[in-house]
Amino acid sequence: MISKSINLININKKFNSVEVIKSFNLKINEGEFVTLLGPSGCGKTTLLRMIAGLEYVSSGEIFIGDENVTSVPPNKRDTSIMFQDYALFPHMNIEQNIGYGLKLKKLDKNTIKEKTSSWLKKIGLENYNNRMPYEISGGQRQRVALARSLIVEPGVLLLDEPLGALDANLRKTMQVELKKIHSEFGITFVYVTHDQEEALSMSSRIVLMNEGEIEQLSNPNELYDKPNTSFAAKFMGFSNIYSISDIQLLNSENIIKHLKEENTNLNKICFRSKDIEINPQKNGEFKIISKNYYGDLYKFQAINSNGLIINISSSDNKISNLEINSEVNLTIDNSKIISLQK
Amino acid sequence: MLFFFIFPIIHTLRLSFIDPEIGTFTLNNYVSFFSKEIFYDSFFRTLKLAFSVIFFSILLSFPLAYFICFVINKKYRTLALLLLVAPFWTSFTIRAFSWQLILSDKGVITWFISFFTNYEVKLNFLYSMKASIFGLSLFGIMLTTLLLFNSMITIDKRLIEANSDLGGNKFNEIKNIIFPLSLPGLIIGSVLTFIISIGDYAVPTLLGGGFKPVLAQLMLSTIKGTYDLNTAATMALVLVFVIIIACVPLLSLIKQIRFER
Amino acid sequence: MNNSKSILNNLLYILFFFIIFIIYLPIIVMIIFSFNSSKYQIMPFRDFTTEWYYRVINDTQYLEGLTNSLVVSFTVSLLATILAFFCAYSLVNSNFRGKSILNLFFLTPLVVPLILIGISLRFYLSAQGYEPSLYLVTIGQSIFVMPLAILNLSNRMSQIPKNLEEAAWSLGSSRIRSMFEIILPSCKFSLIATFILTFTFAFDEFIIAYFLNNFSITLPIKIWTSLVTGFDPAINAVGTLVFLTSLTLGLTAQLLFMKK
Repeated sequence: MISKSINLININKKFNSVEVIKSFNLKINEGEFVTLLGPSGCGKTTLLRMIAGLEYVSSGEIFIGDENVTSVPPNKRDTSIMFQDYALFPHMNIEQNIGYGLKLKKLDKNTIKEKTSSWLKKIGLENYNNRMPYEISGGQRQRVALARSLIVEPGVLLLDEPLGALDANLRKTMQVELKKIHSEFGITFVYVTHDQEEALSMSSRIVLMNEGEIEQLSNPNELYDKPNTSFAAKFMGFSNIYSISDIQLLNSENIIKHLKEENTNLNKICFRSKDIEINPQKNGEFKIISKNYYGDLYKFQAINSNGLIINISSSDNKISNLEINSEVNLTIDNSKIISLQK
Repeated sequence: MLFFFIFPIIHTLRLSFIDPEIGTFTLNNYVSFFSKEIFYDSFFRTLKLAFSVIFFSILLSFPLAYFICFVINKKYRTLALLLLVAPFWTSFTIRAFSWQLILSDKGVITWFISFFTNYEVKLNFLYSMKASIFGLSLFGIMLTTLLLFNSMITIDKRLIEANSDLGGNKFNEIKNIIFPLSLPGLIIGSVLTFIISIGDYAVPTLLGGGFKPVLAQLMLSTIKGTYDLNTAATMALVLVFVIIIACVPLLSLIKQIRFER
Repeated sequence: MNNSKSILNNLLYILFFFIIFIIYLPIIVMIIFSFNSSKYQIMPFRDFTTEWYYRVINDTQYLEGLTNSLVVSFTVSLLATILAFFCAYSLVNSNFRGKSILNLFFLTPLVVPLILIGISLRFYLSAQGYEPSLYLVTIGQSIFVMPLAILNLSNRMSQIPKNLEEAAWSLGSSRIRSMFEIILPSCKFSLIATFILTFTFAFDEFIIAYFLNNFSITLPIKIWTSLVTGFDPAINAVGTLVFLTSLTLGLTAQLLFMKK
């Protein structure tokens, strides 16, 4: 299979008069596994559909490989798309579904037969060739859809939340399997999801999208450890995000004063709830206002006299006897504090 | 469609404005239509017929649709609907003829009455406006019930439960929930019933008789009798005009009639 | 409260069965009379006979009408179903300005009385120099059944997930090919049902046929003329046969619609 790069240049997309994609620029290298991540409505699926040719661009250009495909219809593009509900053809059996793309390429019957049976074998459904789509399980359907997309040897595989309809366990297995297929075939994967865990575990790069624009583009480690914006921080599970004015609310003699001193020139900061240390102390600056137990950890919320609330989580046993209204002081290692641009 | 549907209608429209003798533009056809008593009468007779049919259709379809939708066991719903619709798969003409057998003065009903009571009775029902209204209402009831049912079935059952939770009674339920929410079905049903009633020929002829013709009958006899196309076209266009007015309530529903994935 | 509710329900039951009784009454009477040996269509019922059925089968006019009706209805429903498939496809799939107007345009024949369709077509086509004939009947009836066919098919098509076709395109299928290979098979049952439904409608249609042909009779026209020109007890037999056929076809169509 020949892997292809994708280049999106200044893409704009309007639905009626609503701008859903705003001057979007992105270059995806051949063989990459890029995830478009973002909340629903951020434009990630629209973008994917534009790469597939299922949606027109309002302005801008799309290159797949060296070819400008901006006005090329989907059937003439070297892409293949896989949908969340798989879109298996209900009137064809599994074998016909997988072989459909080859039939369109006018290959002769024997070659089609050969290739489909080798794919059926690869996805572990050798004896299912005569089953209809509604006669197999969700996970099996997913594999059939994958085989149907890959058998035409596309330069780019586009995946629209392909694991969204599976249960949590099957999802984990399929994540591993997809990753394996990606490294085996080496073709470009563009993967759309709203699940940050899925994005982190599979991608080589993540495009975090917000309201039709790139919020942050980086590899998974960087996105997780060093989000650039408060939106990215929130999406990556940071529960403590503060602006400078919030920080002023801290009483100076306590721990978080570090913040005050060192980050005055910044807009916003964030830190993870697990990085805070709790020191029970009479007349401490903070008072516990909520306590929830999550099996392997406790989550607290603490408030100070200025009404500033900080989220804390800890698996330390010594804090398990803290109760609501207990008074505490909070400390944090300065290196754990991340500054944000906005 | 354009060629075989719109053009003919336009052609008819044009005919109605042309003087039959000299072939120039005129409004005389319309003037004479409304000045001749026979046309004038039949015009209002037609309207009266159509409105009576709508009245009876609504009166009876509402409880029927309510019954099929909310009262009977779910399992029998489709059966009930089929039972209601099936007779209408056979032609208007044959059914109307069969009503003749039943309703005529020497028909099934009078026979039964005299058989059991030894009285000779005359129904004086057939060949009257009443019979036309009756025949068309049956069709209207079927149609309106079907469309009403379609609206009613989409009503969220929780609304009804909420109503009784809040202490509302059956009357409130029907007045405040079911009626307003099934209004679209009622409107479509009534408009279609109206249109079918004002344009029908078979029922008024077979049940209503020919002495007090409705527009459709008059139109036909004009064509077949005197071959006065312009007058017939005028009548046709008067009908079209009435239909256009009748369709106005539909406009409010247009946005709902869309097919999208 | 409960008591009044059950009274209401009972009243509704009575109403329902009363209406059902009324609408089936003419059909029952017709079937009974079709076996009545009396020449006059009045009570009492005389003897049981199948004479009228023999009469119908051997009457060349009925047979001619039947043949004409079958040919015309078949052509009409075939034509309408095929055209409606393409119309429905473009209606469901396109999303341009004025789509709702086009939508409405396709449905307008539904709100125009048959007599108007008949008269207008007759006027228009004879002005163009076409003589009334069974061909014109075919055209007229197609216009009458098209909206129904389009409604049915677009209903079904709007239930087919759009991404089935998109998946096909992305695998290399052209639009036309996906229409035939993906959408058409998914509409299979609806297509058959639409065909049957339009057939029944066209088969029973009288007024358009009456206006648009000169000498050839269709079954409904034959029935009509026998009705208007005087009693022919054989009509009951014809009616019974037509009803039973329509019923069978109608039920088949209904079942197919439910199957999708």
